[in-house]
Amino acid sequence: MKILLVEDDRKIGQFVKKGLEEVSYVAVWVRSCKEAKEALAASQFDIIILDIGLPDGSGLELLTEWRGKNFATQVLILSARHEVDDKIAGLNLGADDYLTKPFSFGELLARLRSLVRRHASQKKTVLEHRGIRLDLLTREVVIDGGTVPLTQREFALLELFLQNPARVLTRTQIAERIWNCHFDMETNLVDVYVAKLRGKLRRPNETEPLFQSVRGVGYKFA
Amino acid sequence: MIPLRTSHVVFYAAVVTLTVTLAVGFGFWFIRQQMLTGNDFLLDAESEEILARIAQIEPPINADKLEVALKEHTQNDQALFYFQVHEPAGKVIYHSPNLGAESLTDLTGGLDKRTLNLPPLGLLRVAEYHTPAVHVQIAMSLRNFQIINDSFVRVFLLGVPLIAVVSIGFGLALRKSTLRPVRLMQTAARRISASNLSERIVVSPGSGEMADLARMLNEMIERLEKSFNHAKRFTADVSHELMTPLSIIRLHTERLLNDPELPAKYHHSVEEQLQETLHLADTLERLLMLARADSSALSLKPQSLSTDDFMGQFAEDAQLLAESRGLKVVLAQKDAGAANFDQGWLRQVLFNLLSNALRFSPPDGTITFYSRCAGGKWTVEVWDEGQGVPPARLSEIFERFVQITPRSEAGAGAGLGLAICKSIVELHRGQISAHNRTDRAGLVVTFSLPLDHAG
Repeated sequence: MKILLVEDDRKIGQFVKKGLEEVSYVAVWVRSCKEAKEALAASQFDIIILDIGLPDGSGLELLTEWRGKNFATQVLILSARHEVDDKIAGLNLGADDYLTKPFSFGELLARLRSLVRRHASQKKTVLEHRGIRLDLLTREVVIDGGTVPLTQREFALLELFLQNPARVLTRTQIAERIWNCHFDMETNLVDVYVAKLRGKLRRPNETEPLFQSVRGVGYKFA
Repeated sequence: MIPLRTSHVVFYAAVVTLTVTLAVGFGFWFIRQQMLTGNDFLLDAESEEILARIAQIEPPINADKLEVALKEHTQNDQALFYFQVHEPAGKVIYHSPNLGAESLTDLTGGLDKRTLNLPPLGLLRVAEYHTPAVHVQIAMSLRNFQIINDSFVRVFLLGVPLIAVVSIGFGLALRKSTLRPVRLMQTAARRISASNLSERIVVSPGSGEMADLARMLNEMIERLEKSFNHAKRFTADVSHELMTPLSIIRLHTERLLNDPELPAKYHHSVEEQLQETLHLADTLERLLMLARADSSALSLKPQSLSTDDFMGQFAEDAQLLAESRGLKVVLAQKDAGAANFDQGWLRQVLFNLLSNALRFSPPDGTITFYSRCAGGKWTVEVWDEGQGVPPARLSEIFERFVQITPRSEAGAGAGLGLAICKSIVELHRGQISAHNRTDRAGLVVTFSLPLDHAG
């Protein structure tokens, strides 16, 4: 996978480029709007990681320009701006995801992987993984032939896990999707819900938890 | 505002009416005086002729001689003048025929002239002239004068109310035209809010007071816009300048933690570093949020929402969170109602209050929420079973970085939570307060927002 990283800070740029290369991605790092345009003219990328505050303009302007030209490469905004408005503006302009600084590299990686996957996925009405079957139309969850009653939030959480099997979902990703939260809830609400859902879906003879916790990042439905 | 403007019109009309009344009244008085003076001149002129004729009579003067001397003259002038002659003692010796049965009252003579009312003849202006032998009285009818006088009074009585009505009408029209630019300015000023501070009031050309006022308002809006933009730029700059180094610290610290070669003895220190970095970023974000709220640069997206649905959803999350810590959350009251609020921000308020309550609750404690809709207000109360707050410090707890318990006990992130609640509630035009429980130890935090009347 080839990634264009548009980030003006030298240390962050170096770190992210090196980190992406360590997991075998091809990363091109540029530090201004001008360089970004040149890089895009020269070759194709799968994902663009875009900082908003650039020395010669705003990343949002670049994004507007690209989307205006129907340039459809996925864009993940990486920004120091925490205002909900900026986030919404970025997503409305056609960004595919938004991550605020200070970010964790694990989180960035998880989001990049979700983007690639989301890009490839199709709309399905029945999701199934490891014998758990979720019907989006009847809103029914069946495990080993038996129906499990779930609350609205639990259902949404399970749906998110089933849509992303074997992928790490970060706590913030989960909070954003289930609670539509753009802020820190100062609580371990996500952990509580995951634990609750684990309990409801536990099979009698199963030893390994259904959703594995990934240290410092989030959860994975293996 | 409206009574004041109406009172202006009434005042204006009263001044106009009073001025007109005084002017007309004075004019009337002046004309009346002029007419009376003119009459008096005529009486004096007539008297000269009469006195000359009487002077030609051979004394002693008696009725017959007077009759002869004056007959021709009084007949010629009978349409205008009445004559009567009496002896100084008072006995009437001559009486012009046009007086009929009436007789003129005896006056003192000289320059003294009087107005008498003799009903069959109407108002008379009477003068008396003394000679050594007789007193001559000459009278003139004031009928013409009275006709003019009466019609004047009639016009006056009709005219004053008419002027009052017309001047009120003029006043209202004037008010409308004078206040029109003010109204336009009001509408324009009301339209301009945090989201469109770059707009200006349209200034009509020229240098009138209204144009000056509009210019002054525009200058004020410009100053507001500047300070507003300054606040926005400042928080954006602070974000960028501080979040970037924090990112670098976080990235490297996490890398260290994930490195299997990190000696075990350093693991705890690095973990601690990471926690404090996150805490710092969190505090910074809260401070920036408060700075934006202070300068009204925080954008609220209020919607009319059902308070019971909102509280029901929140209670579900709150109960789970409390359970995971061995505590209980009860939503004891959930009135149906609708209020206009930003869901995300208000949920933040509730989570902040909940997390405070959870932090200070004793094991097995219960946190009780009440959501009431009454008196045009949506009021939410959060009752905990903690230690409460010393009464002297109750008013401080919504201030920034005020902590009642030592930081290490309160856990990370404390000190700004309640200040943020206050900011958010106040941005929603609500109030927040706290008091200690009286039934047992514990704190009650109450916030209220206006209910949505349309919903």
